[in-house]
Amino acid sequence: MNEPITNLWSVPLLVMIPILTAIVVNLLYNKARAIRVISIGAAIAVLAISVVSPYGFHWFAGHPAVNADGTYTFTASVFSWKLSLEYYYGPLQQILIAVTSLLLLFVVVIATKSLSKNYGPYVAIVFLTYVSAAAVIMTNDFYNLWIAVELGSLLVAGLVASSGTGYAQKAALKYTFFSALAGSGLAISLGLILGITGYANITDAIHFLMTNDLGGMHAVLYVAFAFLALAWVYAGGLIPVHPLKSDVYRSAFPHATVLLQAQSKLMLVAIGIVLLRMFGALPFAREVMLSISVLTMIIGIVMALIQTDFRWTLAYIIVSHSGLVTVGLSLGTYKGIVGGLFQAVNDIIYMSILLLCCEMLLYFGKGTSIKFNGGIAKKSPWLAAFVILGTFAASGIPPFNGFQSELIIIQAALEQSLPEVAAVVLMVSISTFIALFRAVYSIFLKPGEDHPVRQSEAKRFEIPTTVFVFLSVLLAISFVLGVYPQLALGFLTESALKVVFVPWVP
Amino acid sequence: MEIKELRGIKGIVAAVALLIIFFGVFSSFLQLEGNVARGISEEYNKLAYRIAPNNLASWVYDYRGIDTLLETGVIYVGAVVSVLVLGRGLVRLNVPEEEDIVKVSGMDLKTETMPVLLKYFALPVVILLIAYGLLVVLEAPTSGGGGFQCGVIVSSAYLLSVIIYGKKSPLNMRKKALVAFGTFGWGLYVLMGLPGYLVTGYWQYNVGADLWSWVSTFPGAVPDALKAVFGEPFMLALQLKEGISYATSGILPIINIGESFNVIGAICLIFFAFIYGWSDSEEGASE
Amino acid sequence: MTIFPLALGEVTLTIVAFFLGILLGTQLQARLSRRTTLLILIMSVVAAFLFEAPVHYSSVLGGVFAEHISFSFKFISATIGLLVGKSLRKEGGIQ
Repeated sequence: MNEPITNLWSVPLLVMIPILTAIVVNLLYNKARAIRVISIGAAIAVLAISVVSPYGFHWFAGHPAVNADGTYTFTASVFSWKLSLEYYYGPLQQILIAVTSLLLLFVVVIATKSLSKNYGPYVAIVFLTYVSAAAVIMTNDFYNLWIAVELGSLLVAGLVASSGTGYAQKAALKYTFFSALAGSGLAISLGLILGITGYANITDAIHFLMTNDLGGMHAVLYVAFAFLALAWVYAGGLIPVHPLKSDVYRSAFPHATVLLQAQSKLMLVAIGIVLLRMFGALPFAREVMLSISVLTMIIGIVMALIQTDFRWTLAYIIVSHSGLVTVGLSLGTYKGIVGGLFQAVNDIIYMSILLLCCEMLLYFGKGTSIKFNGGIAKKSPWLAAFVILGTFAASGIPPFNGFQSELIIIQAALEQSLPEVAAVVLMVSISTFIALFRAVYSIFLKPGEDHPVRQSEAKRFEIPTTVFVFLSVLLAISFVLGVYPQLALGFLTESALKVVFVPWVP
Repeated sequence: MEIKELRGIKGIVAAVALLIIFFGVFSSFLQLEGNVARGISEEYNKLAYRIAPNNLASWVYDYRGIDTLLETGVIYVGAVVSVLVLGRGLVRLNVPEEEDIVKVSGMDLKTETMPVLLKYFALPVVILLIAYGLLVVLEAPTSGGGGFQCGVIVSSAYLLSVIIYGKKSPLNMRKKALVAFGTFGWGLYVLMGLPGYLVTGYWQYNVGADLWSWVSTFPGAVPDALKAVFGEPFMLALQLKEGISYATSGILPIINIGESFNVIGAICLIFFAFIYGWSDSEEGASE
Repeated sequence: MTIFPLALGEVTLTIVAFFLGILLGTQLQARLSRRTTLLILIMSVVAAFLFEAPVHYSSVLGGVFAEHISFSFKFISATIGLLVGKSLRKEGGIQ
């Protein structure tokens, strides 16, 4: 293996290009064409960078690390205390950021096409949401983690509120109010960790904990764990904040929810991994995480089953499947973590398919309630095909990607002799099918009003070409990962191994 | 949520949860007392005089500069989102929708009752306040202060002006100018990372101060010209007890200026939107 | 009264203060009588005396005249900048 470099060129670009884009498009405000060109260009740029970038560290501001003998070094091969803020770009970061960048591109194209002209601030918020997600997954620093989570939750509120409807603003306000709690919780946790170790860098802090006797200061660690877990719960929308988060998912435009759910999965993964690395050895820590996850899965899916609006159903299924991701992570074994990470990737992809289909329903102007719909399949057979295949992927039916990750999680749970968890995962996957298919049937398949589609009306039910392409791409990825999961697993195994065996390495 | 809702079982749960949190935090603070590990801060302190005489500025804007960059982003986003909720850039799908967009109109300010004496003195005070804000930001590397504080001081001058004179206020920030201030501020901060990135590969490496190019493992090199451009204008002769030491804060003053304009733009924009409301058609206050 | 050691850092920011003052001054829209302008200038000199030059400054150009007498030139130049900037914007608004 090559020696890891500490000034990887891609990391700052992945953060700064979207920030600059956001600044510029916010200034342009309603110059629609310019915004469209700039934002699509920037989205393509970050996608390309995330794909071609090698792996390594970036020490922001270029301060060295201090060796044990007091000398300074700029190499990361030997352990040393970092003076700068450290980001790490590895295989896990690559696949998650690449997928999110792809979605960013889709979201930007759709937003700049389907929204009213003054979308400058909106596109700015979209780009900054991407920044917060990318920063959270790359950072190896508690302080930066906190700021990225703060920024992220504020952006969620903005993205939701920008649709301007009363219920969206209410949802955004509620979410901001409670996410302030999560932010301050993370800050307390950060303060305690800083107090007990003296290092904000996660690697350094873990190293300090392992090499120094804490002298019975375990209460501090537990309180720090509790607050960090609280932030994890809020950022990812786990129980007991699932009503807030699902409200958010439902109130944003579906294309914005595509990015929102990707962001919250990335936060779940990032903070979850930090929790495991830092507190994985604490007794009861993983048990707490596991119980939260299982409860989230169950409650999320039960809520999804009783909804009568496709957007609400999707919102609760996203919440429930967040629990699926965290179940894998909090099992804490190699296999469990791989399953959790893979589930995160898959989840982001198949949920995007369903959400884009939901967006198309809004275009058709018939709403998303399952009561007043029906017969869309006849008018738009392609959309019906996409939504049904997306449903298959989400419910873990082979040959789609959901199947593979759920299988790994179930196996991991059985290996840990937790058949109850495996059973719950199975139940969630079946109930997902029921909940989704109920909505899909009554909106798409159930015969609607029985008059033939007129020529003038037929145009209204055509999927725009861009969206058609996006849906096909996502479905193709879902299918390929389902048939050949090694493609994604190759990116995930290294991180999972590190978390289990060498937790101090990012 | 009303107080009524907190009675009964909900209130008890809330109280118990608060008690648990309080005892948890309190007991951990007790355990930490006297046991706080100094960690990396010792190293920072040792290096303190090498960049800016004001140690805090070196920490906030140099060692942890990216944190502050994102923190700046929090303020920027706070403004964008608040003003968005009030009407700037509310978007809708190009399809018939069921619900209307919520719009907010401006405030009703009554300033007739303000004493004439206040009106006479307020304008000089506003001007001096802005000058004070500029002083605070420009002295950031040498004494307490910085971009955040400057932004808050200038926006308080804005608020003062509006409170005394009403909507036709002498400090008449136009909304385009405010958005441009924010853009200029955060943009300047972000772009200050570029020189270091281009010559050393480290984003926001302080090319003016150039602390580390003597370390053998340091990749890249800072050209003398670049070092002079960013370093020389801010060079100070520090009279330490060991003798006179020359130190420059490099890009820190520029970053601070960016920061201050970001905060001025952000906070004044929020005030603006609350006071005047927002509509895309008209431009600004009394234009 | 020392002039050396003189480093550029003591001067640059005073100049920057002037230009930033102009930038923010263009946002001011008021008619100032000559008396008020004079008042502002005198107050700014008094304030500059109270704020003093930063502890590390040592030259006359940095604002240090003697051991206990120093002026914050940045403040004065920012005030002048604001007044100049104000005069650049078309007058109107209140008195």
